[in-house]
Amino acid sequence: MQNFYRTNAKYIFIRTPNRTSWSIMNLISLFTNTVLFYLFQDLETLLVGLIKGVSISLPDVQVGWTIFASQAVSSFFLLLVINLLALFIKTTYSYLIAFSLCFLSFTSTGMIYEYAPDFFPFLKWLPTSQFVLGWHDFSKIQDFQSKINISYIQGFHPAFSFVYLLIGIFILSTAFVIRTNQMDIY
Amino acid sequence: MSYIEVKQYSKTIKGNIILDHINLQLAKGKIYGFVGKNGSGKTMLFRAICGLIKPNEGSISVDGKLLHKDISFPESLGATIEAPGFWDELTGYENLELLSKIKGLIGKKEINRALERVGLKQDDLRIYRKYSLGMKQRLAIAQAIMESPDLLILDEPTNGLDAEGVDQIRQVLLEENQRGATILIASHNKEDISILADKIYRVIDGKLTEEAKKA
Repeated sequence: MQNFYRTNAKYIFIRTPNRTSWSIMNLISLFTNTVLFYLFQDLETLLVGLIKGVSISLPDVQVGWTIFASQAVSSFFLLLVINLLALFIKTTYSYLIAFSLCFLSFTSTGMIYEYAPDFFPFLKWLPTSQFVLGWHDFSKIQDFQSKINISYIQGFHPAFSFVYLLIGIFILSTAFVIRTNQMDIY
Repeated sequence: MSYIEVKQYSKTIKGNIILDHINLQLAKGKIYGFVGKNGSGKTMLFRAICGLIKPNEGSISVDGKLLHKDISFPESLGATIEAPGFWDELTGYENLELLSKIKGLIGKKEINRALERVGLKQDDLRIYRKYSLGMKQRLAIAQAIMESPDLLILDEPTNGLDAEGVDQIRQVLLEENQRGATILIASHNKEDISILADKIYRVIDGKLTEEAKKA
């Protein structure tokens, strides 16, 4: 989107009724593309599994659906952060900041678990914790978590993350529209 | 009532005054020339009238509608402002086709007609990146005129063109004006301005003065 503002924006905008509708249309397009990306990726994984003879039960479908929804919403949240930052600074720096925050957050989570376990439950409030389904208190994957020794945060349900991310997406989208309306186009 | 009315318009960027309390009233169907040194504020004034930048003070109305309040951008506008913003990997036709789909007012026939009028070949398969400076300029003008807008804002429209190209573009602009379009041109080329413009304005350090047109 930032590239758009630097190159093509002027000729597109003079043909659009207003900036708000353009912003909303592009946010919808970004969300649709994100959903389609994970839909095809997960369907492909499912297909390979079926070809290899994996049998699928109803709980597997529920887990698969939760993973898909979690991936789509988390990725859209992250893409929104990058795109919003890119309206203020260079695209490369936006990626660097977003991914550095993810990296720092993931590594610090491990350290907190190791050295400050009392703070472990508070990690569910970090945006990046919402991205990792393995840290959630989700009954259908607890067998899997215990087999590969992943510690999950008690009371950290996937539903909490969806609500958290949806509120975040609403705030980021609003900020994106406001910024788009205010910025000068050269 | 004026077609375009600029009232006390000021724009400051990083502490520099780019446009300083500009007042301007332009009538419909005329050609207006804007002259001034590089960095004087001509292009920024054009951006302001296009609705691309927001003022620190003042307002602009086009056809009675206030920019950034009633409308975000003038409703029927064709413009070329500084570096043309096209897609490098598309041909000239494909670039115009993509832009034309936003409004959906015109089809293949009108796009080809616009290309032909500015001296570009309709069936040229070269991508935009391979275009010469003159061809890029011609494509930018084709982009501005293809939808027959009521208002044309052209920043240095004859830059990079040879003598034949300059004549061709002047002819196109006169035809557009005869059709009824209001045209604003900024140019270093004094001949462009004196041949085309009904009225000339000079921009100096973000301020605007009216200049007598030589006979």
